[in-house]
Amino acid sequence: MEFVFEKSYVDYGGVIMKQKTYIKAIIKKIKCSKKNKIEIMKQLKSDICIALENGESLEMIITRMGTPSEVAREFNENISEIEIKSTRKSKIIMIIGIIVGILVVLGVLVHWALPKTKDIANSTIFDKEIVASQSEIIIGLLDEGAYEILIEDYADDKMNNVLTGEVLEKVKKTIDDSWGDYITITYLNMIEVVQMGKTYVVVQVNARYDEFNVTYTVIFDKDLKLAGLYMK
Amino acid sequence: MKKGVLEILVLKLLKNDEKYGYQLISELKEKSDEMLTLKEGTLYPILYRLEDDELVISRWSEPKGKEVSRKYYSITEKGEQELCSLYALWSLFSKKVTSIMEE
Repeated sequence: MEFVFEKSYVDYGGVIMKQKTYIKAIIKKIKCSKKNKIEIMKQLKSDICIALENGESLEMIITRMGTPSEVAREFNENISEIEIKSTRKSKIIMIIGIIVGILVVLGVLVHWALPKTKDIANSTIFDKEIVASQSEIIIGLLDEGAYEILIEDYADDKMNNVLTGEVLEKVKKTIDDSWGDYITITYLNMIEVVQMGKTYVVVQVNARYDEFNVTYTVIFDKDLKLAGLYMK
Repeated sequence: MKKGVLEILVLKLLKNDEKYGYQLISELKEKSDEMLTLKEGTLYPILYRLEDDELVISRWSEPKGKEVSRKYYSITEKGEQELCSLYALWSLFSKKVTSIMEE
């Protein structure tokens, strides 16, 4: 709807009303963010008032500035350039932000998945003596062939599924046929490992038997249940 | 091209004093012998962009008695540097244009 000059209005207050109507009509047609619209409105109001102070009449001012459509068109032509540039900028920033976010998440996942080790001396969860005696129990059970006890009482759930007496017998046979009790035992390593949120202790033990040596790698979870077993 | 020139001119007008929109429009008109009559819809977007790029900074003044409050723009240090380089670029550009036209 075009702005129409009202010639038959009473003058007091009329100028202010007309000014308000004119500015409102301009702002309505300008296409930009609300924040910018408010700024433009304040600016136009200020400019018109200054012009009035300078002695221009409102009619002159409006004639000079143009119809609301014309004024709004000027703004729109020039503003769209600016907003395109700034939305482009903010899009780039947003993309960079997303990439950084993804990298951070990946970094955290990788860190969580990688094993973090420390020697048992520095462990707050495992005690060297307790772990040692638990390892000796396991090895003792293996030597005796007491596989059921080993699997039921000492192994964790996963191991339960994997470990069977047959498997253990087979492994022992590959090392030596005459398996007795071990003679001496030396601890090579005890390391606490945290990986994927779970804590384990890895024990490497060398057991000397009559005619051969076996290096056991025994892994316990934080409840000292058997979680891994290797023999060499 | 005209757009770029207007930005240089606005920055130059703000070089030594802070000024408000209406003032910039009338100064430009006067100094260019009425050749450059900027409309509000042209000037303000330029000022907004200059401010976004931190080449100018604005402040609203307190209304004094009958005087209404005005939005004063002043140039920043970054703006002064930019003015120098933009003007150098523009001078070079206009030299080249002239030399081609006068062939």
